[in-house]
Amino acid sequence: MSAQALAAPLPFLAIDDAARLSRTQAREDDREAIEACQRGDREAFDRLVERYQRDVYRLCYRYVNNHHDASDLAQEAFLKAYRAIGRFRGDSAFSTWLYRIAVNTCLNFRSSRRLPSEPLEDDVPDAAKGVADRIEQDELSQQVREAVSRLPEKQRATLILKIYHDLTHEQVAAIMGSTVGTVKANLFHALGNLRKAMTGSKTGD
Amino acid sequence: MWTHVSDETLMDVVEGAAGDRALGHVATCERCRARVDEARAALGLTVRAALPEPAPIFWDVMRRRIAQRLAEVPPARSRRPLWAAAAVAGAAMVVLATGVGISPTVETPRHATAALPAWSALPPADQDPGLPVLENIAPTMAAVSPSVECPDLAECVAGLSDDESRALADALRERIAQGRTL
Repeated sequence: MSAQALAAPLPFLAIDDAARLSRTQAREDDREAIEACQRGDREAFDRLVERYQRDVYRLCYRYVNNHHDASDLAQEAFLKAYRAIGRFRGDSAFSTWLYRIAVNTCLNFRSSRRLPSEPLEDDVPDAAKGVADRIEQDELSQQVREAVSRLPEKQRATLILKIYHDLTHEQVAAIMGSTVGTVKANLFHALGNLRKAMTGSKTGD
Repeated sequence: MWTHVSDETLMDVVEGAAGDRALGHVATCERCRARVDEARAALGLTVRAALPEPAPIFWDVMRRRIAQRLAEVPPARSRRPLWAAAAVAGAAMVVLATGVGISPTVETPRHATAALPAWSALPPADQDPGLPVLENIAPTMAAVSPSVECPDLAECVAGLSDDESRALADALRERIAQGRTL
């Protein structure tokens, strides 16, 4: 492979201007809701829940790989955020702060329960697409999710935040309380371990 | 001596953000190129691993559950910086000093109840200019609100909402206007 080919950016890692504008607007909306929360307005927090519940739930799901625990952890993360919102100073984006709470909630998760995965799919497979293909894809997705959920904790959190939540290295570093260099190294190790796990090798830190 | 590039730099290569030197190395180093290829293959797998999407009603259920649990939690309040609380209390002292001896109708200083920035950081106690002021007005606070248990005056004033701060200032002005001793 040539150096030129190696230098080509991966398309799904690019952030376009529209997304940046959208984030700026979201940040302003967040600021208004947070200030209302800090004045004791509970309904304002509901707006934040509505805005972020999907992201927080999915982050938790990636971490524990089952719906039941992910739902519990997401709720717990929001409760912690509400209790602490009076101390939120706006040094970072609210989403960064909230993700940090969610990641810490997941990292502290020590459940004796080991429930099987509980997918709640609401769409019916299209027979025309081929049921066999669909099943194969579902199985692959499940294998990857399981492999991700078995990664060492920091690698797992780093990979989930970077790949599935489209955060920058700087944002992930802020959430993880580490440096950008450490985030990149953790991500690289996570990908290496994921690849090994998918091909049947052992994972390690 | 032949040295490989760091994992951090290899991640830059995977993301297409590496410099020429790193790219040149990876292009000629079989070991590093293999690691980059593995990482890219894993990246391809991760983006194909969709999550099972909950039924749409799940999001409403989760919001309701969170709202129910929040109802058991005291309302969130921002922690007001002590210097700001001291500004309110200090303004009350100005009202006291001018109002008691000079006139029963006292103009309220506008800065006394100015809105406080919600994003302000709380300064460390040893750098907070408001604390000495607060200590000085402790007797006044106790006289105005004798029924309120407030072992730590600074904490108590810092925790007041805007409405509570205004009520405190109003109470002080009212007593001054009545010519009562505080």
